Amino acid sequence: MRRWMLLSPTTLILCAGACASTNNGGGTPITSVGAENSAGAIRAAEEVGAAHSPQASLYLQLAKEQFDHARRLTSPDDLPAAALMLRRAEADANLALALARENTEKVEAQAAVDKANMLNDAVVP
Amino acid sequence: MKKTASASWMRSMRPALIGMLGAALVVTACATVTPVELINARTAYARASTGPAAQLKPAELHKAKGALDAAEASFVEEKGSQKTIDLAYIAERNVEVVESQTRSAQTAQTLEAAKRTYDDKQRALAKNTRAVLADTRVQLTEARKGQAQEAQQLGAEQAARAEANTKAAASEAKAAASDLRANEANDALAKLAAKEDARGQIITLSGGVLFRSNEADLLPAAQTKLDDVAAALISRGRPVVVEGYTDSKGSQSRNRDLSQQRADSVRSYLVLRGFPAEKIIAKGMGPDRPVADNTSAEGRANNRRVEIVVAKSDLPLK
Repeated sequence: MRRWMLLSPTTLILCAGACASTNNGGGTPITSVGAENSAGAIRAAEEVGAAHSPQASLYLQLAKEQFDHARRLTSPDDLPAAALMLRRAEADANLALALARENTEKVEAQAAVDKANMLNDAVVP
Repeated sequence: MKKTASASWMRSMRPALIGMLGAALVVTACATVTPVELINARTAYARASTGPAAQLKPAELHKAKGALDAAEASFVEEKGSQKTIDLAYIAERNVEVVESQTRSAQTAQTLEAAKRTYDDKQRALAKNTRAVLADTRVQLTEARKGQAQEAQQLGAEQAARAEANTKAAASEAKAAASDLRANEANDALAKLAAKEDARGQIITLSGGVLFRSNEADLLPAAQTKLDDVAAALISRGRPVVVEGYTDSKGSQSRNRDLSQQRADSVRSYLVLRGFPAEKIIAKGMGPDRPVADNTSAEGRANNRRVEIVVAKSDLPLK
């Protein structure tokens, strides 16, 4: 399945709107790329469980709010602001993703350390 | 002339122009306030670039530096515009992503170290377990050997016990047979009209049954009687004294000799019938210890006799 097919209807509408409002001679509209990137980053953060990590969930929430804000900037004059807002959303989503992964790896590492320590008790008579 | 005047004017106005330029710069500087997002981004980058991220995530840090540079460029061009703020915000987030990735890398190192430690300890545990297992096998082998020896010993003990039981049973049977023989001997002695006194059981045989007058050779009928006596004495197995007695007629020395000869004849016959010679002695008592009156013929006949004394114990009689 192609990546654009995974985008939510809201994102697709935003992308379509952005495409229709740009007049840069047929090039890829920056808002379309930004929406795809930020939506992908948000989805990736959600998939690694960012919503269940306190720190990561904050940035995930910020990313979603900024994505929604960008969606509301529909006039041609607002396109640059919308593009920046989407980049902010992407940055927050990336941070949420990184924090969620960090949290998961910390848990795994702690489990490995505990496992090694338990084995230590078994080795030492 | 005009040039000279103009130059002179410029010289006179230079301090004022410099002052005005300085004032303009101060006004511009005062009007340009650095956005807090940019300050935060700079601080974050300074922190990250001096931390472990510089070694663990240099490429990502460089990329974050690019975002910060973009924000700085925007700040130069557009001062505190929304674009500058947004780019600074993005730059700060990029730096924080790098820091998070750095911590993840450190955590991954910890995880790897823990896994290595776990593997090392597991190998040590496996080695230790193998050693214990080998030791246990040795002990088990020794224990089995011990058990086999114990089983062998137990078998030997059981065999010895069975043999002892067999011997005991044989002994008991022998003892029972011995008791039976003793009882039979007692019965036989009783049938021979034996009587008891301090010396033991006494079998009295009439001299008229055993010998002719003045002779010491046994009569044939006496041998039949003595066969029964011999069988009873052999069964009993006790020491025996054969005592010969006469009546009081005739000389004392003759009576003693005759009584000794008759006692010897009886002893010889009993030995001939199988009684042990070492357990039997013969005594000639002459007319001693009469059992009846020697003045009558009947009394004298009763006094002519042979007494066989059977000892009460295995100790020999005198």
